[in-house]
Amino acid sequence: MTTHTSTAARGGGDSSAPARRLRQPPRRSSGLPDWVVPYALLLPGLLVIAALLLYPLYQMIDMSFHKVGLAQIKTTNPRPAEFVGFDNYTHIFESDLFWPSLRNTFAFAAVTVALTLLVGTLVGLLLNKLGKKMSTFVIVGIMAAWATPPTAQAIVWKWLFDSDAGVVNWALNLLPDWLSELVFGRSDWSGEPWFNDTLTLYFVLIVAVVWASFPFIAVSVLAGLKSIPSELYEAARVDGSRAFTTFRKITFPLLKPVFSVLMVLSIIWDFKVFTQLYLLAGGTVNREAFNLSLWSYAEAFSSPPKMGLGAAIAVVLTGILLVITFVYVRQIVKTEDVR
Amino acid sequence: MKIVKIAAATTATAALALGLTACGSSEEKPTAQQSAAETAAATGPKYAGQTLTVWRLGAPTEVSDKYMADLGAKFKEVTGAEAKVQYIPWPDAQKKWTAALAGGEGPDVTEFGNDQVSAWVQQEALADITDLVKGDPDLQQIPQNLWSYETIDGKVYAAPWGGGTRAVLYRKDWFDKLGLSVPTTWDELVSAAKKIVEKQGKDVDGFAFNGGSDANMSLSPFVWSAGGDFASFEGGKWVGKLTEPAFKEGFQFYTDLVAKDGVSGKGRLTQNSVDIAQRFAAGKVGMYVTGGWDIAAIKEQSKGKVDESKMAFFSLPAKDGSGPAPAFQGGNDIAIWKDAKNPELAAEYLKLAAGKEFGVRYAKEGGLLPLFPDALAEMGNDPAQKPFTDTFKVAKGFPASPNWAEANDTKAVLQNAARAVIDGKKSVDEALAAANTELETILNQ
Amino acid sequence: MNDGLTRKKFGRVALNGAGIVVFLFAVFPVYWMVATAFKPNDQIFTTRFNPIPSPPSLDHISRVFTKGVAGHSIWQYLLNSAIVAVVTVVIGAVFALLAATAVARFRFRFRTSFLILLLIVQMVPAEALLISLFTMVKRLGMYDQLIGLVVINVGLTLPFSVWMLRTFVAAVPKELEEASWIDGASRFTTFWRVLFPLVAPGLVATSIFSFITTWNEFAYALTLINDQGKYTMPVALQFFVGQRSTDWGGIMAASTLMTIPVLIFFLLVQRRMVSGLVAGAVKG
Repeated sequence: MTTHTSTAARGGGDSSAPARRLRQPPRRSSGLPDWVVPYALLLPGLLVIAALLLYPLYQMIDMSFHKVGLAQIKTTNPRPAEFVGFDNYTHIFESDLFWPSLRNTFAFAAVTVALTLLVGTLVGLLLNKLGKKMSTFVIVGIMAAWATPPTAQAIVWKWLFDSDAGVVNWALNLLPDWLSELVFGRSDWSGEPWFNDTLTLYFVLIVAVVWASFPFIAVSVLAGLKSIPSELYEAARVDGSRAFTTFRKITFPLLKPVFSVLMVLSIIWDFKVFTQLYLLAGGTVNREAFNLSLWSYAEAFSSPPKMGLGAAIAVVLTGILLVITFVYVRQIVKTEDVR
Repeated sequence: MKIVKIAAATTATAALALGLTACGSSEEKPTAQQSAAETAAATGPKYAGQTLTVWRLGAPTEVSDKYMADLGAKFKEVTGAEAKVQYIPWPDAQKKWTAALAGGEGPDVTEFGNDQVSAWVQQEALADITDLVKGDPDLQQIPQNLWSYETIDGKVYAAPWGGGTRAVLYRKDWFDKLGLSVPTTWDELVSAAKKIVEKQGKDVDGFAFNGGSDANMSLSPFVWSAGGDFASFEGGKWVGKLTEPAFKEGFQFYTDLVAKDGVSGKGRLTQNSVDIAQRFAAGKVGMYVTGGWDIAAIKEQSKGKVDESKMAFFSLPAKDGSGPAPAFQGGNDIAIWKDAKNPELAAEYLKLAAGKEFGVRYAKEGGLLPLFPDALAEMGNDPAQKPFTDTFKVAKGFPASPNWAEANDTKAVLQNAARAVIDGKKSVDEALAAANTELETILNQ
Repeated sequence: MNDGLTRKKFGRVALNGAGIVVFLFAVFPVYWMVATAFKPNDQIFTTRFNPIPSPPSLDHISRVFTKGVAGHSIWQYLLNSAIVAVVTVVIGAVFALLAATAVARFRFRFRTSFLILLLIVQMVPAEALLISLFTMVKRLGMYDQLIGLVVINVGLTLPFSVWMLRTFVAAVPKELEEASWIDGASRFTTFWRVLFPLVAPGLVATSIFSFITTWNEFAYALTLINDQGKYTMPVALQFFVGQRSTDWGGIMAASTLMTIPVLIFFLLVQRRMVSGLVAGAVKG
């Protein structure tokens, strides 16, 4: 029964688009021919994207095959850029720093995306359950986390994990010694440095990034929940469906498209995390802690900028992301689309 | 070739895509300004009615505002033109210059860190001012050895504005209390540091190890004092000198501060001088290498708890006590942007700003050392400044390669080598051999 | 019966408890930022754990207000930021909603390509596009103008908004629209009366996202603007970082100030999302 309801709500997915179009009643009040409508709707957005981003994208790819410095892109008397073929790309893959950075990036993104989605979804569901006053209270709290400027975020987390003045070491010291010994094998946390070792540094980074990005997931999930017509839940309640079944049969299928989008976007963002890592790691001095963004910054975007190399790194990064997200993107675009 | 096409095509695409007529309006502006200026010029002093854009780095203070206002007034008196000052935040100056170069909307005159000059000359951002400098009696008074960063292939691209060097800032009150005297050899330095750790607490750094972005300013005095250097330019290319015994001696001593002597905490291997200053203000550091400006910053950060009576500087000694060790010669420059709308007017400004009156004032008010010998000598009469004026006389620069910045802090070659040694991952020889290869690759790219 | 009631009560307590835990986790670092803004310098640069400013000091807050930043009042930067963010959100929301309707409701050529293109734009590292995009906007004659920042921010947030809104539009039962058409409503009326209210929660979520992204955007705000009086807050914040020392108290005070307008914006728009407006709209 519930299954049936949810499919119905999604617009009876079976009927193919052209067939449905035939069923549609004739338009009376719209002057535009049918085929023009989507393009007309798309136009403003497309203009902005095309005008601003398409050309720079092309330029980026073109640059990745050239040796480009600032002298080559100046407005006044630019110098010709030397064509170097795949040199920039070879340089990337031969660099000692590429593979460790790639590993850090992947490990970080995997853990962070999973945690962010999990925490965000749970909080979103919680917000939906809470009473109105309580939910507003919690939402304002998580919004404050989201709204904190990135620089302040990174620095505050750095302070919280500070070896001497940090709240974390202080709190760990408060644990009863036997418990601390049991869990961590030690009881004295005074002066424990968190930012020396790559592993602990990334632990702090994960906490900081999850903290900053779960509010967004929670709010999006909440918005998704709110847009589910409440009739569906009423129907389920009448059917005597249990909470978990309701979630599995109604909530999850309806939220799935939102999830997929959030997942893809989280992967993209966590792959590119920069500001927090840069500040937590103290700039570029610790190269074991590089991720792809920080490495490309050290390699290509800091002064003197090697723009060709920087562009090549950007192309590689985009390529990797496309491959990773391909499965999801295809699923999103193909299956649960135009009905 | 390709890029020229790109630039042309960009304009076309932009115009097509939005059908805007605004395209190119920004290019018209300078012409309009210029013609207006020309009319005005006929009536007043030579450059009356013109405006010059000056970039200063950092946030304006009352002192710097007053300075720029006085300089601007004098400039107007001489040339009739207005100087418009724009402040750029320090950490982002690179981005701003990059955009200025790419977009053609740069300053006419800009302040610069002297170690950045060669990188920007390589990007063709700065104007050649050799003739200007050679023909100006004021600028000729600045000693020749202070023009090394600014001179590339025999041409001068910037004028030194204020100098800086580093010495050791120490807790005077602790030294008095523990009966320590100012170290004159490396051995004395280490034993003083050990005593501080012993008496002030294990979490105190007797002599703080700097492994952060400006680590080389702290490492270099030891290396130079032992007779070593980072690299030298031989036969048309850079040759790394990191594996030579003298360099190794300084490097070994520096890493031993943490690894063997334990006078700096192992938990803080990536701290830079700013981080150390903050710990100094909290009473957790006995000595470290820094510049004179930190006294004011530390007093501010400790809210007066650590004030002038509790801290002082000494010149880092040579190993055997034969005098001050050479330290990094830093400082700020002033340069003319290559795309300056009116280079002659910009030249007038630079001559005035870097000239004796305003040059000395810039240095003194900004906590830097004046470059004119008599002003420097006068400053040396102040005992608080003496360690700096002494060290400044033997100060040295890092390799004058446009790629040095990459080796120095973005790739942090020596910081990583030092950490590998301290963490026991590599021996000193292994670490320096690897670092040497990398340094050569970077400098010769 | 009694048993069920106790369980219900227990469930409520547990939920509220969880809510408080979430709140504390989210707010603690924010509290630390605010507390630091009220700490005198010697309490910021301490090596001891120090959670409460004692005694609190208004040094940093009053300095930020009375001295301003880089020669301009802090209000000026807040105003600039607010203008850019609000205009971006409004334009972005309209453009994104139109485009999202197109991709969710119609099948047409290049639809998939368009969606993937949007994603690619998100994937490219911001640094790689900075200079080209900067040059582009400059050529459009928008150098040193807030409108240039609006255009860029619309471009940067649009891909996300379209992807997000697309799922919300797609979730609206098509039958509702068809019913409206049968009633003789025009396309626009249908859009406005039927689709819009149902998509509103999604629109709120994306607007908040766009607002915060734009509010914190730094690289273009720095490079595209030259006139000190037109800088936005993130740029103003950087003026607290000096060549040789950083004014953390000032940064935290200004950051705290910067967080408040976002919360205000959120409180203004959140009602659309949290209240049960949706159910009514469907019935009506």
